[in-house]
Amino acid sequence: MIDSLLKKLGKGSSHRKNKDFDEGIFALTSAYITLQTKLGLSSTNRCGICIKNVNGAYFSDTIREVQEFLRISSSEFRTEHVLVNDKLGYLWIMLRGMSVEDILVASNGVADTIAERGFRDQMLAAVFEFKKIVSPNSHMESTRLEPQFLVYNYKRKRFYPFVPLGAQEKRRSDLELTLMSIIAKEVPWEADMTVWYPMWDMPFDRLRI
Amino acid sequence: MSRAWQRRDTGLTLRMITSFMILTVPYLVFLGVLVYMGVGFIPVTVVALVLIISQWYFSDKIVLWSSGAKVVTREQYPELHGLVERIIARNNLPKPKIAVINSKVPNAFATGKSKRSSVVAVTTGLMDILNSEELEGVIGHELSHIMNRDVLVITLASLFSTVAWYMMQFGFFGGLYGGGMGGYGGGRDRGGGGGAILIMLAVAAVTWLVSFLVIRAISRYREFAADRGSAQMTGKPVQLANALMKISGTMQRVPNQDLRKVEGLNAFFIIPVNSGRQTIANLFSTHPPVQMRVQKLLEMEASMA
Repeated sequence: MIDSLLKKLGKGSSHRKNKDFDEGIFALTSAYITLQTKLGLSSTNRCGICIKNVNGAYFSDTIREVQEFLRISSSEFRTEHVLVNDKLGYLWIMLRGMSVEDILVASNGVADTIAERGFRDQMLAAVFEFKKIVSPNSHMESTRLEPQFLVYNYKRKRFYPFVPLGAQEKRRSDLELTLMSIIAKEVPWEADMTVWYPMWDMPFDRLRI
Repeated sequence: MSRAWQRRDTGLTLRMITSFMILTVPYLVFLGVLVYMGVGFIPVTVVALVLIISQWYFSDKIVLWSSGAKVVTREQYPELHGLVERIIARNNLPKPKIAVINSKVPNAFATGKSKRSSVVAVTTGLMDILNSEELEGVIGHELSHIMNRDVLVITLASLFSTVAWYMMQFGFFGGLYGGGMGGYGGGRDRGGGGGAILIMLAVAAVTWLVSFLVIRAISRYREFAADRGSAQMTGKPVQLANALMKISGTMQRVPNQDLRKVEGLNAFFIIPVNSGRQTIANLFSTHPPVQMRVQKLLEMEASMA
């Protein structure tokens, strides 16, 4: 019964898919160029999709389907992936590609598959990683090498910045504001800063650089 | 070169004209009612005008005195003076007096009758929490208030409000007096006089309320204008945005709790952003919400970068 209910939900969702699902996330295809030219902040072409784990065969099937999709499409999108379960009960699908477009297309495929199976509401966020380009002969500030993230909240369909500072769960609000301001015209962004929730200890180290 | 933030602000001018019309029309109606009734409104108006003019004339001294700001010399605060001088040199502005308030609360204001005799005051708390670029943004904002003659504008706008207020008082006491006279005179005038006084009171009350709200609307709009002015002066709107967030404590309101931990609460996903909740509060406040100002500043930054 639950299965059929989920299927119905999934069906309902997929009907709306083209209209309102994740159009905003593709704004990143132009915004990342702006970040590069104006801030010298370049995409590492790595992203993490954070999904709330569900116990049950149907969810496991869905994840297997996602993995199958990523395996088959890996040559086409030039991506590789790792699945990581974190301490907070979330499943991370970590993606690494050759370009922002690649990881966007791959992540959209993942999101579509999960939404079609009725687990849309389990999807929390897609997180994209950026790093400052440092020319070899410039003396660099240590903070400049810290990664800076753009978090896409699947429920609010908006981006917000997240720049962690070191390991002690602090953040660089000034860098976050600068980052957001540069692409505010190009992406749907979260104007309510009280929901710029951080995500500490993301498993990006499980991917190659 | 006609980016949004550089354009001449015709919207501001239009809004000013409309505001003054909204303020003036009920005022004139009110005067008409008074004249019709033959009430001696001249003494009241004279008193109100004298008060308004002296309020404007002494505004800088009153503000400095009531805030406890002390005008400081270059020797006392060389860095602050240097910072102001850099902005005014780049933008070819006259140098204002600089004052410091010994207070932990981060704040700043500008006052003065003319561009040349103006004062920019900052608290010690402000200098403590802001770095020099952010402080530059705040001072740019205050200098813009001076350049836009905002003290004069707000004082003029207050004129109507204050006059209406005095007339309301006068109308009230006049009402008591008039009632007494009616009793003395007796006869048919009695009821009519009371009704007219009630109308007069009502008009005065409405005038006062409307002008009160309009002054606040003007004031909020001038804040946006000063933010834009600061962005033009410093070329770094994001620094003012940072400063605003620090001053308002929004920096602390950027959450530290993990998205995965708050996801279960789920409530925050449903509440629409910028919903009607704040509208009433906005109507009565002199400053627009920090979030809106920060948003506009970020948009300016985006178009300048």
